[in-house]
Amino acid sequence: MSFIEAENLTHVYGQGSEQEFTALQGVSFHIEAGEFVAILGANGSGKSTLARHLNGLLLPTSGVCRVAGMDTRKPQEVWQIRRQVGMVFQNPDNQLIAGVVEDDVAFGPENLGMEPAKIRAQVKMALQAVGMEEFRKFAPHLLSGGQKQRVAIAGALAMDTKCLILDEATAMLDPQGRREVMDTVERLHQQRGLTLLCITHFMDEAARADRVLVMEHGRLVQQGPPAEIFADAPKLHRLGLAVPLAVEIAWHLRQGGMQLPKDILTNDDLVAALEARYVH
Amino acid sequence: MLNNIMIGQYFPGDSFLHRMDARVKILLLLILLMEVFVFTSAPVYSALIVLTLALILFSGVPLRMVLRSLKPLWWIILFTFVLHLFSHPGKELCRVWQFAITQEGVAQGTLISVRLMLLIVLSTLLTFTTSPLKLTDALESLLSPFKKVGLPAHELAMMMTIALRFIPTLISETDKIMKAQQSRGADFVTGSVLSRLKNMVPILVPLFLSAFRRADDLAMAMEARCYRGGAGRTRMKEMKLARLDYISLVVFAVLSLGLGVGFYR
Repeated sequence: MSFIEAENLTHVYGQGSEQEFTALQGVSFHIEAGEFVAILGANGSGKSTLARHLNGLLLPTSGVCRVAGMDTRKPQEVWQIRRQVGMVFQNPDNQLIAGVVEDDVAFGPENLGMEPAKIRAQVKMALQAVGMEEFRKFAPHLLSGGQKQRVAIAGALAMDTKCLILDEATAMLDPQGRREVMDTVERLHQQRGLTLLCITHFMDEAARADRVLVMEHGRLVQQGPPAEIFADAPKLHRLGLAVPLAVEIAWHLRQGGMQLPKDILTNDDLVAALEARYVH
Repeated sequence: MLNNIMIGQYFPGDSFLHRMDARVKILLLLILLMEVFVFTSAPVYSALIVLTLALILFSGVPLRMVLRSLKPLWWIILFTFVLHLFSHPGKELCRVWQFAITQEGVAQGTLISVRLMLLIVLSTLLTFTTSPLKLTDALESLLSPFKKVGLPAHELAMMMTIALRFIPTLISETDKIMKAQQSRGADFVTGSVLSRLKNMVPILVPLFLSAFRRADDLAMAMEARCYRGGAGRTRMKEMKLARLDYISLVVFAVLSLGLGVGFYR
């Protein structure tokens, strides 16, 4: 059994009304526990709608979504699912609830009805895990965007989440904040085996994943390891997506007849490949 | 400038008034306010004034700051005083046209003005020594017995928490919108009051729009974090009465008894 199993997910907004809009059409995929998966797609391709199915914030119009064997459509199981699948949203300002960092991290555990002593231990653990414990008494509006997102991650960790969904969580951050957030989640992924699902516009973030899912008009059009997905640069361009610069350059070089390995994803990969071929 | 907005008028400190449990403070304040209404004699009021001044002194809040809280109500106090001067029959002191200022009027006017000032100063002392967050928690705890009769204590407290969290965010957003509109030629400073009010519309519309969007996002985020109302919810910060609270309660009870005896003797 996979950790997340989506089968034939279809979601229609405003069903029966005039503005009926099909955001997802027959999407099926599995995500294993401990995997790092990126979901790519242009605006309006259904990425966020898909993400919201994975913790029961949205329910499928048809099809099934199971998390750890539990069906998101069962009201009695949805809380258990949300506890296991934490979510970090795009706008860092709109997801912190309390006026003090530690109170905000405690919000989830409080909702779960944990004992006060246990909550304090969880909050401490979570803030340490994202490197924010020195800010525990701060008001959220005094933090930078990247720090706010790390607090939001801590809020999920404090509930003992198994899987973290980043719904374009870095889209509103500056490069520094983006690095902070990505480094934090990757560290958690490696150290704790946290399952990561990263919905993003940034190709360099997707390049760090184990697997990439590509969405277009509510359909899952491609999935595979980043190297395989990025190998077909023109296709990604047709889908309205850019490939990482290094991948783009490598593709053009290959078109020009240069022999380069297929797994070039980052600038460092490209430099290493060119050196191996032309310097030594 | 927007980084150090203060919400409410909390004056951080470490006095015993700051350290007392907020619920005890609210309860004692309510009883004290009632005593101010009931024990209306000059000796008791002098004692109350001394007590209030002592509390201000102990709280470490500068007297000037406390007195400043009277400023908005200064006219009301003065008006009440003048009204009472003329409206009590008794021994005439002097006449202004056909109205007489009486000795009883002066006494009553002073009493009422002092009462108003005591009410305001004592209440502000609570907000000066209690952070808004603690105040919210205390209110939730104190109101929770009324849940049985349908008072949404948890929801009220949650609304206050969220409001406190978003006030700085919305202020900085207002600032941003104002600058954006000003950079396109909007004028918020000159012109008549009416035209200035009209010019506020382009600020309020985007502000409300974004506030609704924020509310929507926040509701989603709260649901994702398993929020489902107050039922079955625990709190990280337990509110426990400490020795200081018990001592305060006893001291307060003795003081009240003294005031009561002083009044009814």
